[in-house]
Amino acid sequence: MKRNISFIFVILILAASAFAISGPAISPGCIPMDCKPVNATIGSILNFEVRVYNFDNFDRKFSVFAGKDLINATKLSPTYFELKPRKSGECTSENGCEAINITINLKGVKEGIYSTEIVAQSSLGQGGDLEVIQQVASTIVLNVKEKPTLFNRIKGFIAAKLAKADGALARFYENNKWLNYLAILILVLLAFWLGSEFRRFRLRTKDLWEIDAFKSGKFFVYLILNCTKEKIVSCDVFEEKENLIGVLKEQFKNEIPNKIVINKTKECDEIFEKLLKRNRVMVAYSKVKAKTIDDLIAKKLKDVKDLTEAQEELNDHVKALNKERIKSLIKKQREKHEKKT
Amino acid sequence: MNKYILPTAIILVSVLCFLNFSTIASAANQSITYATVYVINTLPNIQTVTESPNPAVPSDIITVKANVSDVNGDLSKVWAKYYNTTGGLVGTVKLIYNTTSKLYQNTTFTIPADAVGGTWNVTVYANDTYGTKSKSTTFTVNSVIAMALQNTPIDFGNSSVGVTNRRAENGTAVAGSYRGVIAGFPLKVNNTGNTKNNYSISGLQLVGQTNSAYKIGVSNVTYKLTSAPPGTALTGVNMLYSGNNAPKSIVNTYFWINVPTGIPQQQYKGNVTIKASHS
Repeated sequence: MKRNISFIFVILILAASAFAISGPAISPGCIPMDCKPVNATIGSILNFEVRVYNFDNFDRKFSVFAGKDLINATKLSPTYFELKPRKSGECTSENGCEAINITINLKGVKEGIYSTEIVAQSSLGQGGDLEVIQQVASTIVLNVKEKPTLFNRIKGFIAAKLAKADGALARFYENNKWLNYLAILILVLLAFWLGSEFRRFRLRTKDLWEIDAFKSGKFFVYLILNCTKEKIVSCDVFEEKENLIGVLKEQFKNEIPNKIVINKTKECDEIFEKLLKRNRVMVAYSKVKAKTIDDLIAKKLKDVKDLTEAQEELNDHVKALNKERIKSLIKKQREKHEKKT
Repeated sequence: MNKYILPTAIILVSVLCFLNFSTIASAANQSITYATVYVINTLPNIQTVTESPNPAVPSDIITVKANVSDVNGDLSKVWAKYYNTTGGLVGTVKLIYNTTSKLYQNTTFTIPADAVGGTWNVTVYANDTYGTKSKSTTFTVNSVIAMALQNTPIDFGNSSVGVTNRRAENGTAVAGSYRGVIAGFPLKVNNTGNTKNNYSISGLQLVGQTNSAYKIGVSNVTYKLTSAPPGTALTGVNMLYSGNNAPKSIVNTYFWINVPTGIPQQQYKGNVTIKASHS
């Protein structure tokens, strides 16, 4: 039994070692090696090389031609040759190898994916009813596109440079592992900074960004109303806004008289917008709390209105009183004059 | 006065003795020499590793050369390991010093016939008493489309007109009909390259050898991957008939002929083309 196993093993080894390349051959079998299309542009000229081998132990005659697509665009050299049996070494016909130079001119070719073949053919040259001809083919796959525009070329150039830089960066990182510690340190510092600046980040609304822009330009006088709940309760915000209204009232004596009663948010916004334009005053406040603030403003303005009306009434009254007084004085004077006469 | 003589003498003797012992001890210390010898050894240095031919194909004999030096002069051996595309060890060879080129080299490693194409690696190792140093280089093993045919040419023997599905010679002798050699029944197509192959087939009509005006159309020849007719009619255009054939695999192709009527008795000859391409 053991002997039989040994015998089978020996047979298997012999069978395995007996395998060798034979017959006509072409290499590489596919260009590129993975058979994925080679990118090419219309009008370009491509050069490839394939090698034809004779792995038989007798001389063989070969002819080489282009098959399938791009037959007219493909030039081959040489196309007819004879090869000795293959010997290892340089690629020469004596060593059973021939290098075929392939030139593919893509002038006038349309866009698309082309799969062209370089076929090496050899016949065993034997008699018989049907002579058998052997062909071995190397496949070239091309993805032909229009010549890239200047923009695309620049884009490609930048992409290539970036890829190269990325590769260089990757190599640098590979050789400098201490960068990990630096990155961790930066992340920790960033976390601290973010924590400290969290509130500021939270408040960075569109309005605030605009205010910052105006601040840096020193073009607008600005006023930020910080409308937190606590400040509303203490009326700080209101005071700020009231001061503003005071300023505005000076500027808009005719346009914003005491008679105006602000009781709607929209009106409030419109007025402030108007004021902003005229006075170069930048105002930012929380929309959420705006109604409350505006209500307070409206109440204050109503008080002002009431006072003004009262003052006017008083004035009228004074005038009326004065009128009555003058009348009575005139009457008294007349009466005195009549008594004397 | 006398009473001081003895203590003085004792003190003097003690001092002298102390001085003397110190001197002796000092002298003794000075006579001892400690010598520490540091033996420095470094790894061998492999300056260059070259491989040829590049690209190589299966069955090529590879030459690897390495410029190896060792300042300590205790280089024990230099060898190389070949790794395939997946990093699998394929072979180990010893590098011998060549006095002409002054390089360590080997010219005995053969790329296996079924070696997978792609990027291969050869690593040279140099060993001395201190340790082992290594250096690598890569090279390309190209894919090869190759095929070998057996049982050619294809012969149908002597046949009468009007016969259909007459098989090619299968090695069985029949008097007046078959010679008894295997000629096309089956034709063996052997993938001897290192890639998966597609096989396609085409043919040309059979032309009368005495009177070439008479021909047998190519579609009268049929083929199949099994030995039971009917087969597929041969055409003048390449038709894929067997795909994804692994290296070392053999495809058996069986042939028949339908002999038309109305043709004279003579030998007719044509041809069949088998094409192997990358699958």
